[in-house]
Amino acid sequence: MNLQPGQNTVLSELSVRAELSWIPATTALELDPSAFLLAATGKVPGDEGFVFYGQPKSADGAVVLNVARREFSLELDRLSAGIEKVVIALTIEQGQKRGQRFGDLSEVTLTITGADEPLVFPLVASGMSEVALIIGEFYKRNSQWKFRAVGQGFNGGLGPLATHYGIEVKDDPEQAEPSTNPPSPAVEPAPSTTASSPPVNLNKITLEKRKPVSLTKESGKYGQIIVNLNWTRGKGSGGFFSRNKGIDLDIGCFVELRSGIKDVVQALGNTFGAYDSKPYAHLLADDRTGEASQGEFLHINGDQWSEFRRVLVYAFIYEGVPNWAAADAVITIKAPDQPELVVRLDSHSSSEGMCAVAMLENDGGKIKVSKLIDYYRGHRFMDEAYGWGFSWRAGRK
Amino acid sequence: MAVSLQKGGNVSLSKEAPGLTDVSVGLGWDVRTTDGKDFDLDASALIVGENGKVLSDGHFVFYNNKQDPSGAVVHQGDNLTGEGEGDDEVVKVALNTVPTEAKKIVFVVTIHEADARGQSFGMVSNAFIRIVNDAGNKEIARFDLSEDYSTETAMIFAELYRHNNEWKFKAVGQGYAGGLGAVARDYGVNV
Repeated sequence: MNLQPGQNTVLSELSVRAELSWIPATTALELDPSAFLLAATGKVPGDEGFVFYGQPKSADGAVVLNVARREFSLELDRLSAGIEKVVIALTIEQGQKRGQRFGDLSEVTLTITGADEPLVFPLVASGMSEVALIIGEFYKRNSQWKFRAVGQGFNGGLGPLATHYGIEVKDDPEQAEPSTNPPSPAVEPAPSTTASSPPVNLNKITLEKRKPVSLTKESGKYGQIIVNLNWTRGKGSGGFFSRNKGIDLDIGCFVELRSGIKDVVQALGNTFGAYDSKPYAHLLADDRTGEASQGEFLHINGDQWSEFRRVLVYAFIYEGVPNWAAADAVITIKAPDQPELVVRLDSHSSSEGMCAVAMLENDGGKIKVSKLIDYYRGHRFMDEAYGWGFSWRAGRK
Repeated sequence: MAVSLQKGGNVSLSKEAPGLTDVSVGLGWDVRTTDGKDFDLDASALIVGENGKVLSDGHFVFYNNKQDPSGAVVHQGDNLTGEGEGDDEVVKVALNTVPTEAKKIVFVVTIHEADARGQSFGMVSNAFIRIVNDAGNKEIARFDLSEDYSTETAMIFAELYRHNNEWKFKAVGQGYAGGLGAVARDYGVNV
């Protein structure tokens, strides 16, 4: 069944999957799916009501985002009491700043499967000035769950969208003037002196790049932090486009320990590092093709986190034309008992061969993870940007 | 207690509300909170004779003609955005003063420039149309446009019609292609 904007229908099944796709599939836009779990007031009841790449699972486990597949799994009968609506949204990362909008696409499609017949909402995007879109909403009405195709949004991007659902956004990077000061980490708002209740404050959540997610754990030991890189070898390799040797993508990291030791862990130069001794980061096998099913793994020894000052995780194209969209790379950062951080590098027009993906910083014993996604021509340029101070020479692996 | 309306079902107003003299048709919706063109819904009424056509062009009561020549049917004012609580547009009918040649009054709800703005009722939040007995301000019947008419852009809401010397109410709930202009033309208005 195809839905048009505004149309609603009763769901015959409460366990469904909702997958987002768009045309053209390869685009310069960086598109982030998110979900808002709303109370009857139409607002989120708290920060657990926002599901996105930095928090891909709702507290009740009823809404789970698979970032790599751009797909939500919903079990509507498992939602916390009081949740009456689940909104599926799609935003263009820094769209306003980059002059991007949904009109740059021709279509955005939400496909809901799990019921007898798939529900498909093909939204014509051409001409749209919105930077954040409410694609659709699952909602309870007369004790029945229904779905409504919406297709409306905000030209101002994620900020107004989040505000719409009761999330106060501070330091919205879309709106903020460039500042020489780094954005301050989540600060508790001053207690309100008025009788009115303060707005729900969710500013500890990563709404945008560079806003850190804190992986808090009391013991200061985090077990094994697993960083995974997976990608698709360039299409057509060995076939018609036989000059295309495919893409060899590598993962690596810069490590800086509190003792002042700095190190590079990557396949290039055969500096695979070590897990149980310094630099407490170890690159496992080098996947030269992207065809190994699990991709490349980098293990960081979280039990030694007190030794760390910071770790910069990056990906670079060792061989092949820099075509990040074709490489379709997904980087996952996972610490035990912590939410997974998933970063997808599929939608960039950058011709630079190197991408700083995330920064892990020792923030008073906690691991503070910031999504970066900044492209550089190579190691040296990235090093200069982040101030590690290595000396570089060309190498082969 | 409002009557639950099934399409085409009849409700005798005099039975539902004995001694009924004044009714209001109320249309309400929420202001658009997303970016884009406002949602401008319009309530209109057509006073129709035996032949199924308006008695005159002046008997088409809408935002540009706020009342019929007799003053029995009065549009209380055009709302362009849905701003305000409750009913955002109201058409009041004094049944005792409706001209005798009028056999029925047809109420329609339309979205202004629906096609140009790419809008339908389902895109509007909390859009409804209802009829209220002014004595006691009691709701007689209500349609939920956002929910149950989501893909429509215009709808024949209801008819009040004379039958054996009493006014009866008939819920229609029929979607209508072509907007207000098409509705008016079909009832004989020179648009």
